[in-house]
Amino acid sequence: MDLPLTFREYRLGASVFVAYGALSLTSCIAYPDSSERLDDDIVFTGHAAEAEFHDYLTFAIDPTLHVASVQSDNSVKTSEADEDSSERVTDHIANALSARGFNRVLTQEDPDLAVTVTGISGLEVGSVSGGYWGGYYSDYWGFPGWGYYYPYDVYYTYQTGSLIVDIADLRAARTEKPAPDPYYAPDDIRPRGLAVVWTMIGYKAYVDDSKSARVDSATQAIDQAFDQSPYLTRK
Amino acid sequence: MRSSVSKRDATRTRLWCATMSAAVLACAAVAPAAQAQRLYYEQSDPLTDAEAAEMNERAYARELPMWTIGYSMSLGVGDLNDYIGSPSFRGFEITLLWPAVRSFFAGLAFGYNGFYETSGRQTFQLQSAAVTGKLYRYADAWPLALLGRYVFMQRQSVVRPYVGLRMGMAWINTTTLVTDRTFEDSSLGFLLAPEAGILGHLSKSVMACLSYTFNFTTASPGDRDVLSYSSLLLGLTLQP
Repeated sequence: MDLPLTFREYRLGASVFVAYGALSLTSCIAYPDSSERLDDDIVFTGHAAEAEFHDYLTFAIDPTLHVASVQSDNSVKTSEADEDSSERVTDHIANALSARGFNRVLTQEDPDLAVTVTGISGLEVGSVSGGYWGGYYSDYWGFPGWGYYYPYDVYYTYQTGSLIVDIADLRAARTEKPAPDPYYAPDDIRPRGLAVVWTMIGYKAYVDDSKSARVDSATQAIDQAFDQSPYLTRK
Repeated sequence: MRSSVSKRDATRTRLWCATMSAAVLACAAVAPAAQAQRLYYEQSDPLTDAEAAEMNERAYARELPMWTIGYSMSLGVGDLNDYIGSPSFRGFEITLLWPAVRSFFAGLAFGYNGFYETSGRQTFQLQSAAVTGKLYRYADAWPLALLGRYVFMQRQSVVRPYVGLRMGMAWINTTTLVTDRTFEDSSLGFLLAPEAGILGHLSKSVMACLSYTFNFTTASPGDRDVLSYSSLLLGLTLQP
């Protein structure tokens, strides 16, 4: 009678082994999709590693909150936010920079740094790639004839509802003209544009329907961006 | 008419004789075989019931290979705990052991433990950037080791405690996901893992297994140093 019992045990054991194996395989963890991960209140900041922020003294800020709207054909239409929203957001940034020791001046006063603010609006679903977005300003605000570039990794796609703040270095650019298109002057080592020494992207910071709520979420994202950038100071 | 009847009778008689002859020959062939079998049983079954029981007991007491598969739960220690503080409920382990000397077994152990944690809003520092948002952190540990195990008590004992030591390699991979970025590091390191456990007979060949293992590894993926973890195993051991 031992043999049938042992056989049953083997069969039971084998079944449990197989079930266990299958269970173990299904227990492997699947990563969430990137779209799921981007569906969150995220604040990204990046800065030029070689930038010495305590060396900058003054800044000027573009008083207009620019809006880039993604169209149904994926083209980008540019506009401006209403005056009140622009003022509240840009003043919030200016106050934060002043609290870090930088002096706000007018563009005519040759500031060391220039600040621009842009919201990505339009379709519910859509994105603007960094390169495409870079073409939005044909000239950098306050510095005609210059484009700008990021001297660090910014390969994000900007989702609708994002708020972008860029701080570009104007001081270095005053001493030289930008290099022409690398196609025509491949050996010219001068910078092709203004270096954006600090940038922030607030995902979902410019998404609310209500103007007041939109400004609130934008200022919260700006506060978070400054909190996670302790190096952005003259002190 | 008479002539045809007598021919038919003669044919019947010949058939009957042939059949009977074949039957006698078959009996003659089978009878010695049956006799031989009966003699074999008589000669090969000289044991008394007590002797047979003793032989069975002795055979049962002899150690046999052990195959274990189990569900493994883990908790990171040190840097791994700093990286992912949550316990891992995803894991398995397979051990194949053969008796070496008395109750000492030697064999192989292979397993997997998957650690996972989603943080709330946290700031993740990069080289020249920072991201604040929901962080998804993963660590996968794949140990492969030689295993020596001493099992106490006799094989037929209801409960058998054991202690063991594993030496081998562990491959640990860590992945951090934030926004659309993935930061992945992996490292292969030395593994030293003492274990202690207990086996409980569910039947003659099947045992439940409960054990604790501390997995010390030198695997150091990225800027995390010496990722170690302790594991609790609930398993099933076959001793065929």
